[in-house]
Amino acid sequence: MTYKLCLLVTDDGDDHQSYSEALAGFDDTVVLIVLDSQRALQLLKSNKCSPDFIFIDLSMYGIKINTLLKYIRAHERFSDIPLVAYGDQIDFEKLEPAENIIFFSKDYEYTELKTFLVDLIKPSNKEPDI
Amino acid sequence: MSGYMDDTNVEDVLSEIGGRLIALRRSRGYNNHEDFANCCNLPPDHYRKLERGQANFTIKTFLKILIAHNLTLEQFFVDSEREQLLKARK
Repeated sequence: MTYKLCLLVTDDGDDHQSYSEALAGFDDTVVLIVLDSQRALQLLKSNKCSPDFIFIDLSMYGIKINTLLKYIRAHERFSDIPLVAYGDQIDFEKLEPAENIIFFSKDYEYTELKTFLVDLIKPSNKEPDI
Repeated sequence: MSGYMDDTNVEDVLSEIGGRLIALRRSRGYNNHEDFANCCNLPPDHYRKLERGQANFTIKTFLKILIAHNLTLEQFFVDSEREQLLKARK
C-alpha cells in the first residue's frame, strides 16, 4: 500500500491530537509531526521526507513561515504539494503571496476539521472511516 | 507545602478527573463517550483517554468539556473534592 504522508508543523497539543485522530480515519494516510518551522525546513532540505500534504500552524511560537514557504515554493519536488496554512486570517494575510496555499481557520471545530480533510485528501470520496 | 501534589500522585489525579468526567457525562444522559465527544466537538479517542485518566490535556480541551456541562473550573474541582470527602467519610 502506498501511504500519503501528511507533514504537520505545529507545537499545539490539541492540533496534534485532532489532526492525528481525524487523519487516522484514512487508511492510507500517516502523519508526521514537527514542532517548529526551522526543524520542518531542515527535514525538507534533508531529502528524507516527501510529504503529500503540508499543514502549518501560523500561530506557532517563533515561526518563520515565509522562510519555509520560500524554500518549499523554490523547489520543484514540493511545488505541487497542497500546503495548508492554518491560523487567524490576520496571520494568513501576512504571508508573502504564493500559489497552492489553502487557508484553514485555527478556531475550528473537530467536525469542521474532518470535513475539511475529507475534501482535501479524498475529494471524490465523501465518507472516510472516521 | 500543605496539599501540594508531588509527582507520585499525578496519575491518580488524572484518574480522578477522568472518573468525574464519566459521572458528569452519564448524568447528562450520554451512555457512551463517543456521543459526548461529538457533542463537544472533540476527537472521540482522545476524549476516551481523558475519561480513563490516560491522556494529558490542554486547558482549551478541558474548557470545551466544562462548557458542555455548564460548569466553571471552580465548580468542577470543588464538587470533585466534596465527592472525595464524602467517599472518605463513608
